[in-house]
Amino acid sequence: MANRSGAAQRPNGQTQGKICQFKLVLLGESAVGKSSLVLRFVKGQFHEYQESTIGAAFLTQTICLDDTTVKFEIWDTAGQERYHSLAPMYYRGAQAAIVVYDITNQDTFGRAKTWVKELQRQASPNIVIALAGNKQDLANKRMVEYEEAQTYADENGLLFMETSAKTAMNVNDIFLAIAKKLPKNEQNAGQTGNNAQGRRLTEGDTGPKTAGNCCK
Amino acid sequence: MHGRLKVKTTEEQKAEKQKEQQKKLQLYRAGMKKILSTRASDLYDPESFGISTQLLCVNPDIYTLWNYRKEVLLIEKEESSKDEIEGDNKLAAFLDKEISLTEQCLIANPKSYGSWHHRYWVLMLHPNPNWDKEFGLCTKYLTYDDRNFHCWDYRRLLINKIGITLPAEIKFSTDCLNNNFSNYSSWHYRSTLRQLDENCIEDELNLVQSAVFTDPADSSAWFYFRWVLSNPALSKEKRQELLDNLEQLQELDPDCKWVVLAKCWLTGSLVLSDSEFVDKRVQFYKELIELDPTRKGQYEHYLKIAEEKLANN
Amino acid sequence: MDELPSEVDLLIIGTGFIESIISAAASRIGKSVLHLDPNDYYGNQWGSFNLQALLDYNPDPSEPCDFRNKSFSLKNFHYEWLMEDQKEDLLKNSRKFNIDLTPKLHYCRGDFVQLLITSNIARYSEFRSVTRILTWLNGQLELVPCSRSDVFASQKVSVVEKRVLMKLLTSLDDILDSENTHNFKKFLESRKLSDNLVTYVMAMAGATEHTSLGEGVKSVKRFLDSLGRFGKTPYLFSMYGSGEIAQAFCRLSAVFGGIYALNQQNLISLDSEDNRITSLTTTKQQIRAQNYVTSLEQCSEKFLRPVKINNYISRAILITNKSILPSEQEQLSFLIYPEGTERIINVFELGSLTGTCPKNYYLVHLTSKQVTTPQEDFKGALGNLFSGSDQPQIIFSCYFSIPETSDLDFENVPENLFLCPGPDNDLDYNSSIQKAREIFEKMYPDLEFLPRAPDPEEIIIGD
Repeated sequence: MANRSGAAQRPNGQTQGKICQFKLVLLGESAVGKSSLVLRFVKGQFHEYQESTIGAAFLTQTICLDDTTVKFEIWDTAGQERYHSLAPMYYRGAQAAIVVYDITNQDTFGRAKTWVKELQRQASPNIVIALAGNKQDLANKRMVEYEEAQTYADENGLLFMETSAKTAMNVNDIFLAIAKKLPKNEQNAGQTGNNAQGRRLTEGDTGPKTAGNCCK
Repeated sequence: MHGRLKVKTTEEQKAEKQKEQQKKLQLYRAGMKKILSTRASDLYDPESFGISTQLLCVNPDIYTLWNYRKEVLLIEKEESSKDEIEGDNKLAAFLDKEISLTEQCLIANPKSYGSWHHRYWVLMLHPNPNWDKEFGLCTKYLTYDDRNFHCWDYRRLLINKIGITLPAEIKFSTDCLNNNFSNYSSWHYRSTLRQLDENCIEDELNLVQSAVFTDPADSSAWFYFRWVLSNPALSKEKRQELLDNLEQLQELDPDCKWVVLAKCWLTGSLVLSDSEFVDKRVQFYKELIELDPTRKGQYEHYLKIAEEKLANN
Repeated sequence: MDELPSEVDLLIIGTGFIESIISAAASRIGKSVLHLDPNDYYGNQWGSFNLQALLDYNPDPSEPCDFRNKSFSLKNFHYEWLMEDQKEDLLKNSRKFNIDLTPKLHYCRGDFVQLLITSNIARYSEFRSVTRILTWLNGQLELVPCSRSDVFASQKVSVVEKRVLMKLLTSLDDILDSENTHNFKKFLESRKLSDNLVTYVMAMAGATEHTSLGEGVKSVKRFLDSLGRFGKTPYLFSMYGSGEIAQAFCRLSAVFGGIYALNQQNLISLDSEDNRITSLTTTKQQIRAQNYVTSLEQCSEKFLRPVKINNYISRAILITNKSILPSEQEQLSFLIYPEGTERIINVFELGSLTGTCPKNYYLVHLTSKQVTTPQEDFKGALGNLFSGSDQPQIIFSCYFSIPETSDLDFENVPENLFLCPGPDNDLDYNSSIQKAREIFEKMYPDLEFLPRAPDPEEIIIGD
């Protein structure tokens, strides 16, 4: 997915620029295709009868934007939304969210609006929210009109696209749109983050700092 | 239930890594070939220039490419000098991008000679270089790794350029040491900052004694101690006091050769003002030979000189 | 809403720390897990609340039921506003608070951190280092030098004392464990440590004047062992509070198929026959499982003979307006406060960078073994730390007692029902993890406990 344009007139060439990392959470009813959307974006795959969980706490994918590399850490609900039991930790530090509904199922659109309200309540006030009307490939069974969703999105400051995890339509585009809207300042650059973030523990931090000198 | 989930084996992971390596190698070979061929005909070929950027980001130690870029930058400078109004700004913008490139490379490898040298070279070419920003960068990299000698050297270069605020540098040095006093570079840097006089020598002694008492096995602090001892501003009374302190330390750590060695250094300067210390010196060297037989030759040499002195008195 | 599954391998009631680890461990090895909680929040006595939720907290709802065992609920819960004028401002920022009922610190090389790393949960939970360790000596707060660097930089310790301290700390391996009959404090004094140094080492060990030599040495070694791994002190604190941790294990369970349902108001009873639990009955359905796990607090009295709780943990939570020891940068402080000869009060002072309170306020947690009541137990410390004109002021305070249940034994419990105790008075989760392992081993004797979960990059989807 690298986006390296050719050298233009007298440039210094394409420097790699900074890397920004963002946590993105998915929301929406079961069976709207949240996991399929992620799978399509991260692995370029689609499975008709995908199991609802895939054993990963999150998946990652990177996209290039001008001179910035944006890395998404994508969290799926792991089924905890089914009985309204998403933990507060799910929303922690999430800078972006995709609320998914199924265009062939009016109920899921109604629920999506509830999820948006939940985000406005639980998540950070600056979170970038995108509304995804999934299963566009089944447009002949459509129950939610494009304009209705678009209007709702506009009223609430959300990005909006109809997507299809099956055909891949607009899947990359919705993530790209989110990436463009996210603030790419110093705070998100790099994985070590700034002082305000906690640290993640890794096996790499083993052993105390040796007290010795190079030559003792 | 999760038959679809499979974890890659280490074999698969290894194979993937191999593939990636091969790809990198191919890109490198193709890139270098292209650059060197176009350089012959047109020094500043934009495509080649772009390729060199990519290759350096991956491996900043390809010195040839840094030099190639230097050639191009000189052309750019030549061109912009022709433009009286906007020339300087254009050059500055161009060089700023070059500086960002070195920064990218330093993030990947903070110990690349090429990146540091190129950065300094570019700043020297720059119509209005921001030396203070450089200073900040240097401090930042030293907090990541206080043993990065490239960075210490760079700091010294900068200090030569912009001059030094002594109190700030002393504080910086103290902070480095508070963080980790097992560091030759930090102590050495501190010794380059100023000549010690009666006013500050007390503080330095307190600092270095804190180090050697906290960990007498750490050699870097002892060398600084030795440097402080060589200062003529140190009074005889003070030296005697230090000797007493070392005796206390020796009681606690009888097996540490550095304590005895330091007592030898002290008596070395003390005998100059008071021959009474000669027999002590002889005794200390004898102890050293016991404690540190690997360096017996050296100690026997000093012992001989001291014994001769004793005989002559 | 959908019906819950009617048949699972493991049914768990309660989302406290121990239950949540068991849930994750069982899901991880492929068992089908249904994890319920009558509460509408995660964590139970290990959970965390925003400010408003803390004010609304009722540990002992009046109606007894099969899933609320009053013997084990929090006692003496009450709070007061000492500065009414600040109330409105704080309530406006209610959501910025994450107030733990049971805050913990984690040794950087302790069992808990190791578990996080080996299970790979560490990939999505965040921690902050405790930045300084304090103790109380001669009427004032003192910084405890933890590391070699601290000892070097300390202005309060003479050079000879520095050497004596370092020598002691590096020679602990030579002290024989068999000396459990000797007294730790007396031992330190016999090693010619000055009073300051004795206090510092006691703080490192969390020791009282009655701590044995063996125990004291073991604790100091544990302290030193965790130095330098993730920061300058041996301790970590979970970002957003310790309440996140039960949630993290629950998430791991969900990711491997565990089904979660909070706010279960319609549970009626666990049914049993021939000393085995046969099913859970709700107003809508019956659910059967092979094994059942429940927290003590949510276990019906019919399975537990009434027991007298002999020990409690005293707790206090304060919101203050400045640090007990102000400094340039915000600190995460751990104060070991000796109260008399018998007791240590563990004090955590958390600032906004921990994600547990808004800017310009501090959240202070006090924990100790209970002697009389929480308010009495902490009176001395609060007087010393918060009453002077220079000292921080307490805006809000909350007190409660947690029953100590980790050592209770119950007889005649149905053989497929496993009981999880509540929080203990340890600094870290060691014994709680041990308890979870024991229960897991009883249910699944030869299976691996929380093997490493794959990284996202390692996963292949599809056949």
